[in-house]
Amino acid sequence: MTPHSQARSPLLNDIWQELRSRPGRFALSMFAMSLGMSILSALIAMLLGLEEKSRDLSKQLGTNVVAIFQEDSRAAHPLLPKHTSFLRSNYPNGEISGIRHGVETAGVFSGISIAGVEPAYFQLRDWQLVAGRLLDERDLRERKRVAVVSEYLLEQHQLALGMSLPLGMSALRIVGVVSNPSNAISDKLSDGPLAIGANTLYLPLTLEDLWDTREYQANPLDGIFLRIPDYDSADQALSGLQALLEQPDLALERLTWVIPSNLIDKVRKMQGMVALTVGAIATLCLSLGGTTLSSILVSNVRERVAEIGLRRALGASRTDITVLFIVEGCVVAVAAALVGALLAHVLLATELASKTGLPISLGISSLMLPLAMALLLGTLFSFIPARSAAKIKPAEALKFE
Amino acid sequence: MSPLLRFQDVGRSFLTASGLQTVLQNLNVELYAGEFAAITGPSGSGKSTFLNLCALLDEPSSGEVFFDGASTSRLSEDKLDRLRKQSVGMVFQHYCLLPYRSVLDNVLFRFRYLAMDKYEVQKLAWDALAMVGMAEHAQRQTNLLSGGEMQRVGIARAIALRPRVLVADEPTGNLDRKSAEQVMRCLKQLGDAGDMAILLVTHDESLLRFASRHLQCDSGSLSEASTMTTRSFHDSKRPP
Repeated sequence: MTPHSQARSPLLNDIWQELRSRPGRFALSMFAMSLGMSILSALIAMLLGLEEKSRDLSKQLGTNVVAIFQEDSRAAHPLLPKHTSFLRSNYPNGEISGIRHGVETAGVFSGISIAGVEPAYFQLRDWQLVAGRLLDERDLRERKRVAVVSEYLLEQHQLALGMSLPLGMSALRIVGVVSNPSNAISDKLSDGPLAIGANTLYLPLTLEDLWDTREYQANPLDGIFLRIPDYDSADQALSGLQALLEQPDLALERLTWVIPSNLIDKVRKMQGMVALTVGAIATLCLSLGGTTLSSILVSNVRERVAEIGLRRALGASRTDITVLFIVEGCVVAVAAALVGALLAHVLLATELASKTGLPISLGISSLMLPLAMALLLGTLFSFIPARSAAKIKPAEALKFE
Repeated sequence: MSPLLRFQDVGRSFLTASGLQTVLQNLNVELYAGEFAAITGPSGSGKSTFLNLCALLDEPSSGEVFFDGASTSRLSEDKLDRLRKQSVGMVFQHYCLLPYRSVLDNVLFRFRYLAMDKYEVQKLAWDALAMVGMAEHAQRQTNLLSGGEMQRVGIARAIALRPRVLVADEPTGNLDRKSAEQVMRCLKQLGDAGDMAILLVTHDESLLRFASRHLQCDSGSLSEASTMTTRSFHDSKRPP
């Protein structure tokens, strides 16, 4: 016995020797299984990412916040500042802010989001002031040419508090800096006013003519954010709000109501879709991998009949033989799971993940779950070959010596 | 002195496509510790089936096999496995060695299903290799050995645990004359040295001189052969 084999348990030593003697065959079954395992690992990372996302969404939207949008931006009866006032009169203690947003298409800030907001907006979104001040009622009333930026924007464009920014034909002065707002909603799960975050200049809502060149009949809003005062009665409050804004007199068309549970539902739907599609592919690949493993073990059993006979002659019980082949199958499956999971982790940690636009959570779970699955599949797919090996009568087996 | 192995009206039949085929019938044989029994007979006469029954690898269809006084048919499969791993050694015609493993690894494989102290196991394996003159080849791979050497490794593996019954199915069948004589001398030494019962199947009548007893197998029955070239068996060991 070599020093190496002495250090291993006899069972693992037997399996190691077997794997060494048929490397190509085991590599084939490992390859087939590792494909499925990498997809499974990616699926788990995606599902966990979406799960984390759903947990964060409520925080990202703002605690107890309802966002109201109009599906048709060119609606005949759009959301208007008067609707904000109307809501404010019905919710005197509620924080409410209308929002109008767009993307700067020219100049230094080309590609940056611009959002016209009311002072309550920052409180609504739970964004923290880092320096300077936030927008106030006076800024709105007097149409002051001021802006609030995020730390991210400050760093990206080497801006500073008090600096003047050219915007169209005008100039804005930076009066405040907010901590990087979580813009995690700004992905495939959401768009529109929810999608704006760190890469945005926040101006008083009344300055829209400075940057919004779209032609409107009125002065429409892209959305209204409102905090429901009592979280416990969120459904009731939402029903009340819906009753207020959807009354026929206002003639507002096709309003979208976004509350944390809406967003979570959206994530859940996506989770279901991902689980179904990626899960189906993973199941298919794992079944193929498992079948390959099983057929290779069957072929091994056929080739190793004499060895099985020898083992039985040396006192191995049926259980010993069953365990030998099951552990052999599990070792291949676990090795495949390790390779597959690592491959998936490497691919997901690179650019590929960001291209999918899906949130990914790479952690111990996306490594451990495929390993657990490998043990299960290894046992499942090697059980029949293992049992057939154990059923071979030793006297019969030794005829193949 | 009670027999180590006793066959009482043992029969063995197999269900084949052409019906029930009786291979052994009404076998009444006793084998004692220290005996070196050679079994001869034409192909298909039931020699290997008899050996499988001796090695506890098979069960009789009728009658009973007693191992050290206990009926094997009353033993559970677990107990039979245990008895086999502790008390029976087997030598095969085609050696049945693990390829690409060292000579020592193959001998150590004898202890694969036994929970024993690893230093004791090593000692027993080296002793067995020394007994068959293969100690100096311990680290060589078995696939690089000659037929005679491979068979000596097979014997070392079989005797490493000092079994009470050593069963050898045509161990010289694939060997040249010189190697065959070497293997037989090795077996004879073992028979002479201890209280092991050795059962050997052979087609080579010239090797019978090494055995102490000659059994003739024919058409499913076993009988004492009349001729015995050499008797190395100590008669004193055999009961009157």
